[in-house]
This record gives sequence, C-alpha cells and structure tokens, in this order.
Amino acid sequence: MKASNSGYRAQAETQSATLAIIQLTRFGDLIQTSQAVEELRRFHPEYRVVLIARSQFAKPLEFILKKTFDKIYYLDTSKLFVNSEIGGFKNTAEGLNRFLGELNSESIEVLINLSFSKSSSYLSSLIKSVHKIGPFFDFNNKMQINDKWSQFLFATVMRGPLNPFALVDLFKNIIGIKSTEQIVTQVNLKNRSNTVVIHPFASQERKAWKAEKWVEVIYRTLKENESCTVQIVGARNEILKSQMITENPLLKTYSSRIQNLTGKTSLEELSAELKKAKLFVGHDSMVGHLAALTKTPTLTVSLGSVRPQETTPYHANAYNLSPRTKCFPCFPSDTCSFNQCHHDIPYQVVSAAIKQLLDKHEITVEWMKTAISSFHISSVNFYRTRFHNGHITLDSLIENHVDSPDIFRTLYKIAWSFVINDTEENLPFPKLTPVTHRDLLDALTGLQHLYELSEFGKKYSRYILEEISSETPSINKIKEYSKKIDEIDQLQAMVQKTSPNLAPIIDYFAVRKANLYGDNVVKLTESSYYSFEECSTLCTIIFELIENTISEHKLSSGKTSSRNDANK
Amino acid sequence: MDILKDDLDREFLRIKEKLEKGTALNEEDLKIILISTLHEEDLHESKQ
Repeated sequence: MKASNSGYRAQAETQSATLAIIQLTRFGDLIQTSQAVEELRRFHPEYRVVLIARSQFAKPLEFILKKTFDKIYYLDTSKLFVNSEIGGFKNTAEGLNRFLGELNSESIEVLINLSFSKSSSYLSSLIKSVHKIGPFFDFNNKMQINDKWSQFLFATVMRGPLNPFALVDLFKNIIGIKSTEQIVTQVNLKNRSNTVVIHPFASQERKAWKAEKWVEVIYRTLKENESCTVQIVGARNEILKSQMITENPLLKTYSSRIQNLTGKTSLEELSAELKKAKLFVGHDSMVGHLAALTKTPTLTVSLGSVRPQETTPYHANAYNLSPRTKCFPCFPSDTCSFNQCHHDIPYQVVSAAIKQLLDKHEITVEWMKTAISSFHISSVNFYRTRFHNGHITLDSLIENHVDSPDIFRTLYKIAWSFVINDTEENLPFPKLTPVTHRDLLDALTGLQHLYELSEFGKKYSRYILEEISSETPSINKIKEYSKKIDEIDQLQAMVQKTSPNLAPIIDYFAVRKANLYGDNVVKLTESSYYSFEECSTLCTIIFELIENTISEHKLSSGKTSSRNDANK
Repeated sequence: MDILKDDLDREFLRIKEKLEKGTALNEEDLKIILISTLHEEDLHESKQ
C-alpha cells in the first residue's frame, strides 16, 4: 500500500488544494473516473488530485492513471488479509491503520467518493478532509449523501432506463466540472492496420452473447472484408470461452486471419493493440472504455442489465446497439433463463455495421435505411454518441424511431440540468408516435399528483416552522404535521406504480429526504421544505416540457384538436 | 478455524449492542465495519 512518484503527471507550477478521489470499484469505473478527472485537469491544472483505489484494479491500469493523477494510494486487500485466519483482527487493523495514516498525512481539501460501494463509504468516513462529497457513514452508522449529484447518482444509476447521463458526465457533475464544450479530435485511421479487435465477453453471462452468435459475426466480417483480420481479446478466465469461438468449424477457412490474444496481454499491451486497430467491437466492458481512450472507434452491443446511456464508451461517434426487448435493461438481481434480449439483436446488423465502419468509418440514418432490412431493425435501437454542452448524448440512427424512454430521457436531461446545475439544455422536440403520445399524457396525470403532494409537503413543513416559532409551541401539533409529511412521502412513492416513467423523480426525492441538512428540528424542516419546493419545480418543468412537446407534435402533424385528457 | 472471522463476529455483536442502545459509534468501530465489508467484497470478487 505505497505510492511512488515515478512516472506521474508533471505537476503544475503552483498547486493549490488537494482533491482526493475514492474509486474502489472495477477497471471500467476506474477508466471512467480517469476520463472525468482529465476534464478537471483541463480546467483546473492548479489542483493536486490523488486517487484512492484497490490495488487489484488500479495497478494494471497504472499506465493510464499515472497520467491523470498526482499520486495513487493503493488499497491492497490481499496484503491486508494475509494470514488473517491465524493472525486475526489485530494484524489486519494494523495494516488498515498504516494505510489511513498515510492518507491522513495528506492535507485533503475535498474528498470525493465516486464508487458508491459500502466499503468506499466507510473508507470515506475515516479519511480526514475539509469537505466530503459522495456517500459516507456517520457515527450513527447512517449513510450520508449531502451533494445533489451524488444523491442523483445513488437514486438513478442502475435503476430503470431513464437516466439520461453517462457515468463520466455524472462524475464530472459530482466533481463540479461545468464544461460546455468538449475537445473532439479527428482520428486518422489511415495509418492503422485493418484489424477489428473483438471482446466477445462480459462480467456476467446476461451481458454477453453466446459463442455461436459471435462466430457468425466473425465469419461474416472475415468473408466480407478480405484484407481484414480479427483479434479476439479477453482475460485469462475467458480463454476457454475464446476457444469455443476460434475452434468452431465455421471459422476454419479463416483461421489464419484470426488472432486469439485472450489471456495473453496485459492491459497496457491490450491498449497498444487497440491503438493500432481500426475498430473495436464488444459488449459493455472495460475494453470498450480502453478503446475510447485510444481513440479507436467502438461498436458496443448492450445486453442484459447494461444501460447504454450510462456506460457506452465515452467518446464522440461511439456506436451502440441495444435490444428493444420490453424487459431491457433488467436488474442484476432479476432471474432470466431465456435471455430474449440476446435474440433481439440480429448478428447480421452487427456484421453489416462492422463492414460499413471499416469501409466508410461512419454509420448514418440514411445508410441504416438502405442497407439494413426493416425485419432486422425492428427489434433494435441503434445509437451514435456526440457531445452537446460538454455532455455526451446518444442519437438514434433509426429514422422515425424514438421510443418512450428516449423521450423521457431527453425531458429529464433538460429538467435535471436546470434544477440541479442551473444550466439550460436546448434540445429539439422529439417526434411522437401514438404510443409515446399516450405515455406522455399518462405522465401528466402523475406529475399533477406529485406536484400537489409536494405543495402539501411545503404547507406542512411551513406549519411546523410556524409552530416552533410560536410563543408556546405544541409538541403534539408538530408531531401531527410530521406525520402528515410522512404520509405525503408514502403517497408520492405510490405514484410510481401508476406512472412508472416518473420513477426518477420519486427515487431522487426519496434520497434527498433521507439526507436532509441540519442538526436541529428547524434546520431539518427548512431542508424538508426546500426539498418539496424543488420537487414542485421539477414537476412543473417536466409538465410544461411535455405540454410543449405534445403541442409541437400536433402542429407538425397538422392536428388542431385540443387535448382531451383529465388534466386539460 | 478463521480467527479474523471470530474476531469480527465478536466485535460486530458489540457494535450492534451499541447501536441498539443509541450510543454513537467511534472511529475504531467504523474501521471494524470497513474491514468486514472489504473482506466480504473480496470473497464476492474471488467468486466472479
């Protein structure tokens, strides 16, 4: 658990405050953290930024992390728990104390926990810093999240399909980077070898196709692109799975053009291979994020519990294919024996996209319309990323296909950016279909309920404050009003059942209310009031956005009849 | 026999009693919970 200074980024001449980032989770999260901190570097080179990460994930990525961070503190649990079965707690505690001693010798101005795991939250509580961002535990063993973007991440990420923000952008928001532009450098692919790097695996089976489907993709890729070679990459524990692909009889004819590097490269060597390749294709995994860092074009096939908006490789013109399956994206805890989402993405779309990206380096709506059969397109969503106001956006490449989650994500992006960041997003009105139109109308009813409940919440919060400030405050009355507020919270949670598209609002304000500010009744009630007020504002904004979207739809489709829903 | 596990179980009982009585925890208690959590996460990781 040591940090050396060799090879680290050159320090700015006058470094001011030290920021410490905790990221204890896996490779992909570390790369995405690094991408967010790179942005911080661009705008604030004067800060000293240190990283606290697990050895097992951060060491293999040291070649990247060293360029971004001034120092890395490695939490080496294999050393922490060495001989713990016979040494017991004492030895382990001594190791942890040494690690914490090193960290606490830093003069940390801001500690930012970006990992949201239980261990990182306890670690955050034990590190001394002037300010703390992200989750940590207090001495009553209660998790505290005091900043709004961390509350948002905790409430929304890996929940439903309605979070509009990429994880890197959320990290940027949590850190406080308010960039409105992104440097997008054109990559010259002419000097690269005609190689497609494929990572056909993922951390969970539900996130990856079975070998047969990848065999079809590789067969077609090699058949249709005569000078192209395919490199299969993966970790040591994926060697057997890779052999199921390379040893398939269908690929025998092309075996000389297939290189199986699974288990043979370090991450640094893999990064070098990606840098030489024309294209990366794979599922949602760390390799895609590594490809984005090497500016290699990416095509990601998202399956199972993957949320494309959250974890598609963070660079411009990244392509993402995901299924339109009703249950997609699922939750890691869901059981699934059939994996319908795996069947809903035809391998023909993937191989056609690979050919187009190798030949023309670009996929457009026009190409999709002419080159892919409607039969194959009908069950997929196909997106391309672009930067807008410093944040990444996924644009649909399928003409006239924007589904309800797409529309709600657009509306939420505008609303959250305004309410939490005070920034304005100008996005075009989405085109509606009868289904999306109906979903928007349904949401209006739920929004009205949420708004009215929030106004009641404000009223009872105000009653409590008035009662406290009266000459003879009545405890019974305060209790009665508090009970009303509890009832309002329960009723707001129930709105989710009838209006599932409003889940992000309900989940976020549940987390907000669990993290009210203050150490006395007055401050806590004031915080409760502001929380209800923010909910009212958010509901009003989304309500107006939906009304405007519907009006625009009616104007553009030539309909002039007025709305006839209950909330007219 | 896993001495670390026995130690942690014993310490956890003590922390649980503290929380039940409404007594605030201290840094040493949080360290125990952190060690236990890291241990659990490592076991989970090794199964993946």
